[in-house]
Amino acid sequence: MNLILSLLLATTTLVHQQDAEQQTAKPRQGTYAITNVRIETVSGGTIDNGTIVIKADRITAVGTDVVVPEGAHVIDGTGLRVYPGMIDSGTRLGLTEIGAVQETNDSSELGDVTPQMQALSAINPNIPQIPVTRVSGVTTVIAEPSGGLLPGTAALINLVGYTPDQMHAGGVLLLVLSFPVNRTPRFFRGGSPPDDFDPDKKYREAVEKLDEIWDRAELYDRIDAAYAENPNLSTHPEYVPEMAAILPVLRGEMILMVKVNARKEIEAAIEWVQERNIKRVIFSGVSEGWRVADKLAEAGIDCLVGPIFSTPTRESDRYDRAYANIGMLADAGVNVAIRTGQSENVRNLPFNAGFAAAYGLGKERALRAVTLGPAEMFGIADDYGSIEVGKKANLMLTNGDPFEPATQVLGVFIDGFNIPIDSRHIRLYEEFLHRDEGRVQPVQVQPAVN
Amino acid sequence: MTSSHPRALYCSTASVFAAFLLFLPGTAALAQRNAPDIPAVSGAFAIENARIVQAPGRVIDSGTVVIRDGLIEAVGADIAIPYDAARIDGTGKTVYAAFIDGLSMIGVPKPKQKNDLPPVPDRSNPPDDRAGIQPQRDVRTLLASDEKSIDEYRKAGFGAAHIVPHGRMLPGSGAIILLAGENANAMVLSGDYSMYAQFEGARGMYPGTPMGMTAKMRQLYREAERRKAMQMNYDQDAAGTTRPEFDAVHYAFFPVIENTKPVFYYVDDVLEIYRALKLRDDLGFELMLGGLNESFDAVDILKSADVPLFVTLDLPEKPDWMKEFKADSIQYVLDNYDPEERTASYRDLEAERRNLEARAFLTRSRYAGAAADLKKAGLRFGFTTKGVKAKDLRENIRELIENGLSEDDALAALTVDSADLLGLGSSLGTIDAGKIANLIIADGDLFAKETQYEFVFVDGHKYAYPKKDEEDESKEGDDEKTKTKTKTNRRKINPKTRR
Amino acid sequence: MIFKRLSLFSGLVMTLGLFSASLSSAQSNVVNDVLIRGATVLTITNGTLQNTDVLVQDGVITAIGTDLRAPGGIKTIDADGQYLMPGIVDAHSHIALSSVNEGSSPVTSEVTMEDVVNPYHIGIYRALAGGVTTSHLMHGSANVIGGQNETIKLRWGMINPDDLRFKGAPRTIKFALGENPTRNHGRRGSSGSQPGIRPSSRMGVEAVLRDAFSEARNYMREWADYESAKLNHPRQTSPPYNERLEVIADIMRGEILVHCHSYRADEILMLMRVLEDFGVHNITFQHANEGFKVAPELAAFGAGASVFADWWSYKFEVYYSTAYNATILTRNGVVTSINSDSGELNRHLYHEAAKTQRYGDLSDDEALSLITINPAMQLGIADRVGSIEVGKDGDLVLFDKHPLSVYAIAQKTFVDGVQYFDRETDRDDQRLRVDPSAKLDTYMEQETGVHRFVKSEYVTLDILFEQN
Repeated sequence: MNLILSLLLATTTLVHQQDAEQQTAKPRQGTYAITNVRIETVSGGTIDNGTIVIKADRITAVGTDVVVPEGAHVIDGTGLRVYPGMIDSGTRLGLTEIGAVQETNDSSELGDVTPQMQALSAINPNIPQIPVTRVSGVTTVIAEPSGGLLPGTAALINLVGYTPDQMHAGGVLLLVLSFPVNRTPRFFRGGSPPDDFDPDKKYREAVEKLDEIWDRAELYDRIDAAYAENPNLSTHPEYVPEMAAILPVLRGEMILMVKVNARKEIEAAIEWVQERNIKRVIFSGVSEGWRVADKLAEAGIDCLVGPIFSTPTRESDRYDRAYANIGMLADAGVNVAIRTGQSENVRNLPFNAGFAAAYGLGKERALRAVTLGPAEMFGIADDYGSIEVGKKANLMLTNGDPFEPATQVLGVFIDGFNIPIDSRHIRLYEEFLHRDEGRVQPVQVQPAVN
Repeated sequence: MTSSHPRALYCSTASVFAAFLLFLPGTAALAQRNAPDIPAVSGAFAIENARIVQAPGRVIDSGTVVIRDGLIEAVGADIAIPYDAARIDGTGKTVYAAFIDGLSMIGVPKPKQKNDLPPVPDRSNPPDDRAGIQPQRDVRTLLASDEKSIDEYRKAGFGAAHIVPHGRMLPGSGAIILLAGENANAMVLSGDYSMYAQFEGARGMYPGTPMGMTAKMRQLYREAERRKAMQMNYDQDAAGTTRPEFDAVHYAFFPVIENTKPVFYYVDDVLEIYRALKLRDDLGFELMLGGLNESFDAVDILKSADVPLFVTLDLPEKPDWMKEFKADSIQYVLDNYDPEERTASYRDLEAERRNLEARAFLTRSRYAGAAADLKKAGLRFGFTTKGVKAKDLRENIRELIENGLSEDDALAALTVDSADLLGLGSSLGTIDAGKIANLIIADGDLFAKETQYEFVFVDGHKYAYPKKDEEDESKEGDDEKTKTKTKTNRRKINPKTRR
Repeated sequence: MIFKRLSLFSGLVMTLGLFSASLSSAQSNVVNDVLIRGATVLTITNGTLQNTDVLVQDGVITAIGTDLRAPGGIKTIDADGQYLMPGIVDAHSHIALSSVNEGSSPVTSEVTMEDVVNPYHIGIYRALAGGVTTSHLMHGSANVIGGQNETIKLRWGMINPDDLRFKGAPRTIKFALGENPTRNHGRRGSSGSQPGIRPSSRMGVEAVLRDAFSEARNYMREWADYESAKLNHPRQTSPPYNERLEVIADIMRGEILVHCHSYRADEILMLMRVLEDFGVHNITFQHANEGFKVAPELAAFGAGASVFADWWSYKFEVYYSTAYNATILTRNGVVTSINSDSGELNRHLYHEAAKTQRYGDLSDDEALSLITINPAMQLGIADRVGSIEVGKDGDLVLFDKHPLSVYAIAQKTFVDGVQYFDRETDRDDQRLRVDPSAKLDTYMEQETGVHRFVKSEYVTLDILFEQN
């Protein structure tokens, strides 16, 4: 048994000493105390040799002078560190299981205008990707639909729970707008674009379409408001689920998440959200954000940036542009968070953060970009993003810098649930590291003839 | 255009039968246009008092060219004009040898796209014709004398061309034709001239990629070598020997293996140049290369390769932003080009843009300067018009000249060098007695924009291209917008190697 | 007007001259001597040497030690506090190629990537900037027996494809099992205009392999018979020449190393049985996501495995994967490498290797071996590259921090002692050539570290199938 596994096992054993009879490792809430641990609060600096107390879903005490409640499961954190659980600000986690198997893909619906599609409804809480992700310390992710112009509504989810309600974090929903793109796609039905393919024209048409949708949504808003004010005088608004789904954005109750990457399109999107007076808006992707960092900062638009592991957007660009983009945005005064755009490998979020840190963002801002930064953007900083009394118990316990690959994540709490450090990947490791151990007959393997 | 060629008369290429043509000097263009049925009475012409560029650097300031029955009978400053020659007043005009196109599909109708072909049963091993492997085809059987491209290129000054079939990997054998003739046979100067090859893959079947095509070429060639040996064996003594099975594709390789017929490869970019040369080195056939886009990156290797070259007259399409540039702003951009400049933030975008513009201009000039580079390296080459519209040719040639190719070198490449490289030096390429009467009579400098090629003689046939009405001319000359619009360099740089 | 144009272009030609000179300088004055002083040297095969100098002369490492004296005029780099490791070897790459899949036939052993190396591809520079010096350019996975691969060194700036070749590297060939060849050939459905052909199942894949090897064996026999019969009967008719079978015959003669795209344990075992039957023993399983399940069998056969650090679940045959694959394989004695198969991942293979310290417990040397000496062994070039040893090629990369740290940034990369990458001094725009017809602000879709399955409906026969 290697060092890490024994460490894991020790931790699990410690935590679950009173549940020894329990065969299945499952997430459990309770009262926990992590003691003698270095606490990276994000919001209030570092506390050495501190203690964190967790009761049910909340952090109830943080500091060096904390009394461990009676009956608490105590985890000795000597030599270890606690960080807020990481938030990935853009994934397809839960919406897709096997990329090439269409039957398991639910992240996109037919049609260009489908804002009423709810990612939260299609998330499968039981897919193996979720345990694989959360044991890396990623506790919370945006699961977003994709496809058309308005592909649906994204949701922030905690990676624990058996129902959408249990998983939904802070009630955060974001309406996704894939801002029109002016470019020729890399892959075309039939191999290459038809001779008359005109990306400029397609772009113009899409922007016009977006404007038309928004005009109608605003009209729908007026009808709906009039009816709400005086049900006797107006007729009941028609059932138009597309428009109904946009209303919360018009009324400032929901964030509009604009997916946009190319420079010109970012500029157009800034103009568009200002013209349309969108009250709560976040840009997502923003791979050429550095080119317009000043404009984004001036407009005060927060950005969910990534994947950091990307090639440059132009052949002439410096090779490390995609690593450095987020740091350049932050330097210009833009609030940034990191997204991986991943599904099965959201576990690479800390490494995205590490590269962002190395190429200009710096460790402190990178940590913020996967914790408190996005929590503030999504309006849930009272509950998420840092280690403070009263906040949700979303934490990770590590033996080092969480962005370093060699660091082990030894414990994870999500919504106060102590998450077993267990996943299909770990189980396969345990089973196959010494596959034929316990076999009586020797293995029948013919040595190679050389 | 009008051909003075009476339909009733048959005229062979070698002028065995004379075409009796008659037009009095000074006959109005209108008359020519409206009277194609006037019978010709003589096969002799005399162009008098003209400046004659016999070959690059060999100029007669004022002289006469006499043509008879398709051949140049005499040329010189002091030539007696035969009594039976139709006289053309060359005062103020210059006579040049007509151009030779090293590779084209002039006169070969483009086959209609067939979308209803039945699926092949086994796409890993399709019938040769479906895979585009048809070296046994002969372009002479595909040539159509009434194809409109013949007149378009003739009007642009071309009198002869090496033509090949449309197709894919191995479309068939090429022929040298003259751009005149009552029917296809009459146009052919030399048949079964080359095995045409290109890197155009089969669609949806084997071989579909450049690597598939190089492999297939090696397979075909080596198997053909084996079959040729067997056939020779059998021809020597059939008794007791298994009879070799005829196979049109492999048998088409026999003259290539014997080095009596070259493989003419069209190479679209620098990587295709390498591929064709490597095949030549591996298999040992005689190679000719056409296209040679991006030859600027392969000058040394072409120099050591020692193969006839026919450089494309195509140039990359100008993107919209480039068309908007005025000359002095280009110079500004180039003067401020600093490749070392870093784009450290959004503040540097202006400098980045200027650098990108400069690199694009410099690159364009590398394409346009490719011919000059080859010349500088001491290489002789001809040109190919494949893929270039006839009306764009002269402007493209001018751009090559602006980028370092001398006018004489351009003329040589279009005439004497082409003729020599194609092995036609004794019959074409210069204005000398005994050669085929392929001539241009221009009203000005050969490549100047406003120059009109008033007459083009091909194989002794006179074709008149009268100057447009004054009205049209002024329109064309003055209007900048019209000019940029009419210029359409359609070709895009091959995306294959850009990826 | 004409005068204006002429003056403009004469200026242009002048500038052009300067420009070409600056481009070609890298080739004409090749400096392949360098002394790197005072680095922490990660030799891979001989541990870590603190504060050590490495001398490269004429492209080859000639000395490793302290206080080495540099011959006069040699370029010296002060690498105090930096980390020097061997150039990274990427055992699975599709950069720098004009075409990847001759996907029209289940067996295409006659094609070779040597014919389609594209030295202009910007991916070469981007890989160099991540410390890669050798890439194994592979045919795609559309066919059971694909084309021959090409091992290149990343000599960025050389424009003759031949100049990139890793001279002396053994020939290798691509095989592919499982979903890709069966989908491409047998299960075409509506995606192609031509009907499907075998294989459409993993049984069919085995049959295609056995048929090909058997045909090649017959072919060898026929030719051998012919050659001997010819001695007595000079007029003997020779058997047909077959380029495809010639190559398979070379595999059986042991002249070509097999690199096989594979995922599932059963198909890995199948191929080993087939190879055993035809006497072929040089095999590296590429991807081998389920290699961990048959690690003892792989070790016994002497097969290598070249895997992803963490890719899984992008298609069904990688659903039961584990990121601990490399660790399990290594611990079971299988020579294992981590490859990129991606123009994004190949920019940080050092980081991919580091993941084995999260998903497993490999030592620093073991982790770095996965991207250096082990892939070099799998490609048959371990006598030349893959470690820092006297006599080996001067393929080196200098990092500011330990390369297994997520914060490490490659600073300088050398191939044969020639510096091809310098983070400090390299210009931004590294394109070796420019498309003069392109728009200026063309946004290129990014490659990401995400494995995107290319839906078959978007793929025609002429372009890429899923490459990996």
